Amino acid sequence: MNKRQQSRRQFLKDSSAAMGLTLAGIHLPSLLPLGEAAAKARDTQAAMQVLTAEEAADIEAITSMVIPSGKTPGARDAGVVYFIDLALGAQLASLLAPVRRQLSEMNALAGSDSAGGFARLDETARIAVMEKADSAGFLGVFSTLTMFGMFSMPSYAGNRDHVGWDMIGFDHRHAWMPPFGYYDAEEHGKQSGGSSNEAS
Amino acid sequence: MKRPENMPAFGLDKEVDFVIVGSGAAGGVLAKELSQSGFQVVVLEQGQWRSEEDFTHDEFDVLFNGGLAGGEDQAGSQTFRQSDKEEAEERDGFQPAWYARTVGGSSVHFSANFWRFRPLDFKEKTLLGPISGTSFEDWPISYEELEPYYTKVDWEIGVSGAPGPFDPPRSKPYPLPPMPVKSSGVLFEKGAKKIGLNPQVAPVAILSKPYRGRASCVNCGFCMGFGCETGAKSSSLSAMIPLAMASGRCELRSDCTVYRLQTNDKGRVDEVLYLDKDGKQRSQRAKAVIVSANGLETPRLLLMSESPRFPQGLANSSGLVGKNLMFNSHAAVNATFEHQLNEYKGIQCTRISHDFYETDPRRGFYGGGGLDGRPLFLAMPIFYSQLFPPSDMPRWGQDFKEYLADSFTRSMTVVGATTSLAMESNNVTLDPTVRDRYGLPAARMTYLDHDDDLAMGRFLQGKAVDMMEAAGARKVVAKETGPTTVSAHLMGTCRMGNDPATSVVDRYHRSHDVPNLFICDGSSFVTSGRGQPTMTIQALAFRAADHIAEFARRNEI
Repeated sequence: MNKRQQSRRQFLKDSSAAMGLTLAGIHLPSLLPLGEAAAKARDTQAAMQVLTAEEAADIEAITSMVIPSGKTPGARDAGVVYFIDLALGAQLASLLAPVRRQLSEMNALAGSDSAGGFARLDETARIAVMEKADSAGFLGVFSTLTMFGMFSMPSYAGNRDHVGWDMIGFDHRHAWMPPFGYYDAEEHGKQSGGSSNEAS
Repeated sequence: MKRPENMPAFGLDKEVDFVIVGSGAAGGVLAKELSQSGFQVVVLEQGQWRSEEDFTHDEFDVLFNGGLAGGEDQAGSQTFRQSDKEEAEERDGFQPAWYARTVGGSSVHFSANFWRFRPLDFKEKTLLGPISGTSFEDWPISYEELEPYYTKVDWEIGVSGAPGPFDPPRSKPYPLPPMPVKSSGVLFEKGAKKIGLNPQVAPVAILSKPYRGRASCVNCGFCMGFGCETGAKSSSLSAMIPLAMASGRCELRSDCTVYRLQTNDKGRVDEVLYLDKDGKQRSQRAKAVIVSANGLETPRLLLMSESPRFPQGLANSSGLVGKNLMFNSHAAVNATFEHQLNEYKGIQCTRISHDFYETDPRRGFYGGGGLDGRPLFLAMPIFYSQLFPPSDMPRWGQDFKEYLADSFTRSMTVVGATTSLAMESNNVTLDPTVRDRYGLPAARMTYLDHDDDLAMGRFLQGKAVDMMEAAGARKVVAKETGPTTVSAHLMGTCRMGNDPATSVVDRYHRSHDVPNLFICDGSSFVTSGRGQPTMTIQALAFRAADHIAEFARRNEI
């Protein structure tokens, strides 16, 4: 095993903060075909490009536990699984095999020896598996992929209709005028430029 | 990027006046100054030639797939360890030295905080005495000598700011008024005053008003790690390269990676060897060479240029090429408030404190630093989701969702940046085994902050906690501080000095060993300042350009 493989293995053991940075890595095929595929996935609920239907069901179920849908949209509504499917065939291609291994681990915890096991669990059982996976330290990759799918540009097939950005109150524009927030409004002699989640 | 109309195409066999390796903070200034002074200049830049219209807010691409940092081109180019007892390791994705591979270098993606050094930074050893176990040293130049060039930077590239209570003397005011204060700036100022500090406007290399044909900032929020879409960030790309191109005497070749400086039997550099976009070996002849490749790549190139005459690497008779690497240590405090700050709008920093700039013997350790209020990771949603939540928070579930939804718009970070003591044990060498995409040895960093640097970071962090509590934060979290393992500040690795035995370049950036080789970038630094090196890199470059032009006119290169 060379150093790169070792470090890749190491990151799968890690869970939280460093993960996002470590995941960064792999700049692969051009973004144009990816964007086109993403648009197609959005429009037609197209079949998965890389994941099997069972794997996609598991990943959708897991990412829906990371950011649940409820009063406000969650990972399922953002189309996070579509982001993950496309990215694992493109920029994050080198993660496909590790993600599959982690998925097997999740399914083993779910008492299943094949893909689709996690997706078939009820809510209570899913929570128990998530807790076990978290304490075993291998939830990080799914959490980080969920964040990518929630918060990257919608052209990557996640963050549909900006639901990820709306969730945190990020309003994506290319220009702003002060006041920017509540605390600088007085300085700028105007009302705060609050956005949609001020009341939440 | 379309080839600029005025750009000449020099033959590879033509001996141009200067080859400049690197087009960043220093290289861009030198290219502009020397070409405007009438010299023929070839700039070789390893990154692509992107322009303002190529820059985006695409965080997944720019930060996580390494767009500006070079993506997979970075593979095998850096390794890192904390001591020479360890084997250095490669990292996927984010590299330990975070710099941009693009025309304009890291001045394209930096946050544009733009502090001058102060007189004491240049003579602190004289003021405080030596520090054992370190290479703590005075600079061979003074603040007074550099001041006209700081002012030149202000006015040539466009800097926005206002005087502060501890500022060093300046010969001209800022050319541009401050950027509009953000909520982080207001809260920083409020908290700082409540604990007895003297906050001031943050000087930034960003245009608050249109300036010299460039548009002013539109507060889009994507400064740190991104290229500026309007050209309001005063990068070398926006402020210097266009002027170099307009001279008609500067050719900039992008996607060209220099791997060796070739010396002749007189011990002079006569050819610069590089790989072009297609990986083809090329060489450019020049009367003199200026290396401005940054504090990591500059020593790497010199070490790769070893030869029978220069067995330790080029310009390295002192053995100090690559030694005394300095990163600046950092500490961060996150604070969440009742109402929205919306820190994703606007530039990074609008208020700073320099109350702890000077070393205070009563603190019990060497060092000083600065504090600033800013979004830091709150400017970018993915970064925020990864790095802002407390490290012990589960990264899934309803509570996590609610935390993310609540904190993004209501939070800010106070950053403390400190001195780094120069030590030979912190260094850049060639990795014995790891190779990059061209088969060139990786730059191996060995780095562990001095205890005093870390102590200063913890001290500043304590002040930042007090400040945010005084400002009325409902939650304050001091991020874990520890040794630096990623840095965008790369200093000290070819230090400047009068004595050839203890320095790599002289006070004019000329190599002590090779008369027609000049080195000018962060590697020239003798001390680290208090956390914002770019302004000083550019002042040094303007000063170096004056002297180098004069040497060339006198036929002394």
